[in-house]
Amino acid sequence: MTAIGRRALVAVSVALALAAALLAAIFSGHGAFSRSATLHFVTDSANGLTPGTAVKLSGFRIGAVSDLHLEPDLSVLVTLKIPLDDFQRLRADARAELRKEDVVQTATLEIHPGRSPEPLPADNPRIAFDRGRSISQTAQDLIDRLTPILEDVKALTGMLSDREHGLGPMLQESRSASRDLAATAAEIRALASETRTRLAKVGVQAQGTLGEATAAFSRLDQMAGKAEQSLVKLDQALPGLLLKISGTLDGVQEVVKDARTVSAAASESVPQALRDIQPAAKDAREIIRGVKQSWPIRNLVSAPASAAPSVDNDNTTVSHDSPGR
Amino acid sequence: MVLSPVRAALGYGATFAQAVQQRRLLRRPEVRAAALRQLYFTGVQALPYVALLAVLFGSVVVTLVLSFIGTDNEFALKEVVWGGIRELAPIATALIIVLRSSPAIASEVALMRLRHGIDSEVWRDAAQEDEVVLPRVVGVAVSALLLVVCFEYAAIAAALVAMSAVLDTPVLAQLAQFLGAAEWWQVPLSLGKGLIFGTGIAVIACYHGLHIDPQVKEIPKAVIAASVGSLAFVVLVDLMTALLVPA
Repeated sequence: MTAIGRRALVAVSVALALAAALLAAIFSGHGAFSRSATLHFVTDSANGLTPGTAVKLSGFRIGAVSDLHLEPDLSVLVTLKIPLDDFQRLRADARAELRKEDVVQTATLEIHPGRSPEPLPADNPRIAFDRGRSISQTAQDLIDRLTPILEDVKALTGMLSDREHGLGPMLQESRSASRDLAATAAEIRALASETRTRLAKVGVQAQGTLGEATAAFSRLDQMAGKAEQSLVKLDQALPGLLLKISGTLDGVQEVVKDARTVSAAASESVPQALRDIQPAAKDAREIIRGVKQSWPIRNLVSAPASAAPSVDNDNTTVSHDSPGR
Repeated sequence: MVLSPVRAALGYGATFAQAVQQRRLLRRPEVRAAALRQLYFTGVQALPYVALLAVLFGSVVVTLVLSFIGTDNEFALKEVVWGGIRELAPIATALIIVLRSSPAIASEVALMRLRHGIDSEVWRDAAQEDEVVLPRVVGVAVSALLLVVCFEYAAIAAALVAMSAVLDTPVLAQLAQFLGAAEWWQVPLSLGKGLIFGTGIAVIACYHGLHIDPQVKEIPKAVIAASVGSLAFVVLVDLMTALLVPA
């Protein structure tokens, strides 16, 4: 055999081996070389299900639909093939749900393992089936919800396009209203400016008044301090004063009593004395007049001054050099 | 004009049937050596071209599709990746054979006929004809199978490496998804298609090489007819496969 022939044979042998390995890998990927178990469910339609449909557990592909069989009562018996380890995780209330995530994605069977304490029986591994919501059902729901909204929008647009009460007249009115509003806003702005000016003046005045009030309060505070000190002193002196006043009042009372006694005595003796003194006074006056007129007494004794005492001087002075004398 | 393709198709069928009938000739060492030579020139020497196409397809098309649709997308893996590999591997292989080997075989056979001055009576001898046709058919058919396997491996490997580099996905996890999404029958189907394409291309090339007038100017006509006939055959077979085999 030539070298070319040997190379060709080697190439063919390698290719066949690789093809066999690829097949084996695919079979292995489908769990053909691991222990597997079957389970089944019954549904009323095989829609979305085909042999080979992926079976997933918690999002992981664990197997595939191995068979679909139409039963005599027209129900469909669906058989799933999954690894034995995964089968042992399923509980008696396990169920399968047909899911189609989007338009492009093919449908998959998601198995929910269940929470029952009892495992899925191996002799009758039948689980429940839930078809889930299809895209058409979701679309129908969306249509049902959108239809009333679209009708409202249609009514709204019809109302807005009305010639008398629609959007045009409304915009016209709103335009004039906005013009009025603009004028009002300008007036309010001028008023606000004026108010701001006046308030500034009032503020200045109020500030001055507050300053004066603060000073007055300060003085008042000082006076209150002094009054408080006086009151303290008064408080300290008051008991003594009261004692003194009491003694004074007692003395006054005694003096009044004495005065009353003296006045009572005087009321009897003074009138008589005054009656007795009148002739004596008259005699004395005549004696004095005679003395005055007699020399040298007449030059030694001057007549009493008639001027009033000075206001600026506490000592009442009597001028001895009267110019007229 | 209308009868020409029919006549050619009948001729292709007759040539193939004759080759199958004379399959015992493969026991002869010279026929086996001729088949191995054809396998080397058509299969082994074309491996770089097929590998390049496969790497481009796997690293660019598969990575782009999965980056758009999602690396865990069952549909993308099953239909786009494996569907693409299943369909593209035999087609790409067939096109390369049509480009490289079909003209070569047609011109070689035509030249053999011209150089040896064999008249039509001799060429109508079944044994003589099958000594020319059978090793080429066997060689090209097995070459096509070899190239399909090479394409599939190169495409998958390139896709895994490119996805690992570009999309930052673990190679082993992605390989598990690839294998999980694949169907086993896709491998024999693609190999079978490659085998059919190779067989058909070789038969067509031999037929047009054999059925020329003994003039040099007929060689280009034979080459053109072989190429066009091979392309038409590939398209027809692919169409029939698509119709008969469910995706």
